[in-house]
Amino acid sequence: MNIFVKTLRGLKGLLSGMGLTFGYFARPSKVITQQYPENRNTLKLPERSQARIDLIKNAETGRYNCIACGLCVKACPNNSIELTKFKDPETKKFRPEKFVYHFERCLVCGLCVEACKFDALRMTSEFETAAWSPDDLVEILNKDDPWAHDDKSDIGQQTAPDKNEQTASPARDTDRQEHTGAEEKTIQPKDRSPK
Amino acid sequence: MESYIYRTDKLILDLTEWLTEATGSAFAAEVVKMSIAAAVLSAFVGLLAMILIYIERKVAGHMQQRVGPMRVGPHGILQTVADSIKLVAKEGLTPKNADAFIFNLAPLLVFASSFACLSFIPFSPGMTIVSFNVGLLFILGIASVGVLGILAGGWASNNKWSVLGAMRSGAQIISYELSATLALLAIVPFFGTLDFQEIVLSQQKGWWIWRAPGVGLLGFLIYTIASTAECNRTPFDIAEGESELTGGFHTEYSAMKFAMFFLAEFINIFIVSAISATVFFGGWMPFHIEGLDTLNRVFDLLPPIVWFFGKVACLVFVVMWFRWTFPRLRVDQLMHFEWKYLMPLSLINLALAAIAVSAGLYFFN
Ligand code: SF4
Ligand code: SF4
Repeated sequence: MNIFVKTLRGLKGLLSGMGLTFGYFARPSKVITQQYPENRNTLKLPERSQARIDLIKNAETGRYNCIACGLCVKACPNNSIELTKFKDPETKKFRPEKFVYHFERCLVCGLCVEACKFDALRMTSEFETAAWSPDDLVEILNKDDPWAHDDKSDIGQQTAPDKNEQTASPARDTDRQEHTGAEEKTIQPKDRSPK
Repeated sequence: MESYIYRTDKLILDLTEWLTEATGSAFAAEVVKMSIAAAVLSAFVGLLAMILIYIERKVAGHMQQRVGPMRVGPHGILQTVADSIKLVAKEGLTPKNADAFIFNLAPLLVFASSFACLSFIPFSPGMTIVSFNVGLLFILGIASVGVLGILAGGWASNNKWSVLGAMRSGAQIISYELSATLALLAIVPFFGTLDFQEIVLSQQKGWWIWRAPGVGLLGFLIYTIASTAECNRTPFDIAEGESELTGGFHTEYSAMKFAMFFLAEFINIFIVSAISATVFFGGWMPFHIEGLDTLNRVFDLLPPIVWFFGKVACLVFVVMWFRWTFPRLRVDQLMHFEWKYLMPLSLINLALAAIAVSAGLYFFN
């Protein structure tokens, strides 16, 4: 008897599976593939799609939410974030001086966003990020702050720092630069010294 | 001219007559006829495989909420053409330590057996390339030659995965052939002939799937399952497996040799569907309901060849539907299923059919 029950149950499973696939087959509107380059203008990305990160601005004050705590820097497995900070004399709070994002090292894992306790970081869905050189992928995320601007001349020099040495302070960053500067040049002969 | 589409038997007869007159002897006419048939069949095979592969990919796509090929030609219709050109243009490699002769012979064997099967299929009244009074039996026999090709190919590749794949494939095909044959055999007593054209003609009043009470339906189900397995298709595609055996018996094959295996696979799908359509669904016979003459006349408007290909297309779709829905079986489950359930079931079916026939227990007898 058992075998008949089992057979019937199995058949039911198979038939419901066939119903499902036929349902998809009969309704082409359910297709989720997007014909990407053609529909570039009408592209619909899923809600939770994640690509490169970005800083979130407070809509009222027009300032970035970031308080330069460095949690994201610590959380990042690839050391993709470099951060220097200063104390804003107005609010007496820390603000990022330069929030440098090394997209060429980033693996879009989202750990930095998870680590941020201040709702200051988010994953965008900007996925068309191809560039001609790795240097173009280094970006200052707080670019709207006048002091950060687009001056990238002094960044992108350090190799990835050791995990335990990691910090948000600019002083130690320069230390490290001295250690590894010579080595860096031999590996990457491209001239990256300040203009 | 128009009537030729409906009365293809007349077309063939007239053609034979004309050829006999033109060439002067019946034998020469036969030779010319066969050459034409071979040429047409070759073109048909190429076209059929391309269309089937395209449809397969489209069906697969849409069943998984994808779209399938889209780039080459509108909606990707030229994709398989491009693929075929690529396959033909590729270098045909023979592995260094392979048994070159058998290695190159194997795809031919597989392809030839499928190709030969096509010549028995009744496409339309009178349109069978080889009329043969034991056509059904013969087609089942020839189809088994394909196994030989698969085994030979796997063995000659000198690659353990190929041998394993070929063994699995061989074991599977040989096992399921029994059920497939028994399922067809159960219907044979009802029409008492093995000639395909006569099988079709015997279904003038109704298709055997319901005329043979219960037995027809059960036979059809068994045949569908067993023939899917015979074609090495999912859920019975244990002959290949990317993670365990890579491509199975055709791992070492490339270019045209691979194309032949591929072609044969798709022709086989067509053949098993065509056999199923002929035996269970009346072949080219239009759908008729006794008494409803107007309706019958409407159905008659479609030429028989359209009926035939329509039925086959539906059955091919079902096989594709299986493939993109069902999970695959393990080797032991596969053998278990065949020898412990499917085969006894088809034997019971055969016995029931025998009783039904001898008691005259079928519709419109
Ligand atoms: S997404 Fe991952 S890799 Fe990229 S910056 Fe954030 S933590 Fe680092
Ligand atoms: S964790 Fe958030 S608040 Fe802290 S530095 Fe990073 S982005 Fe700014």
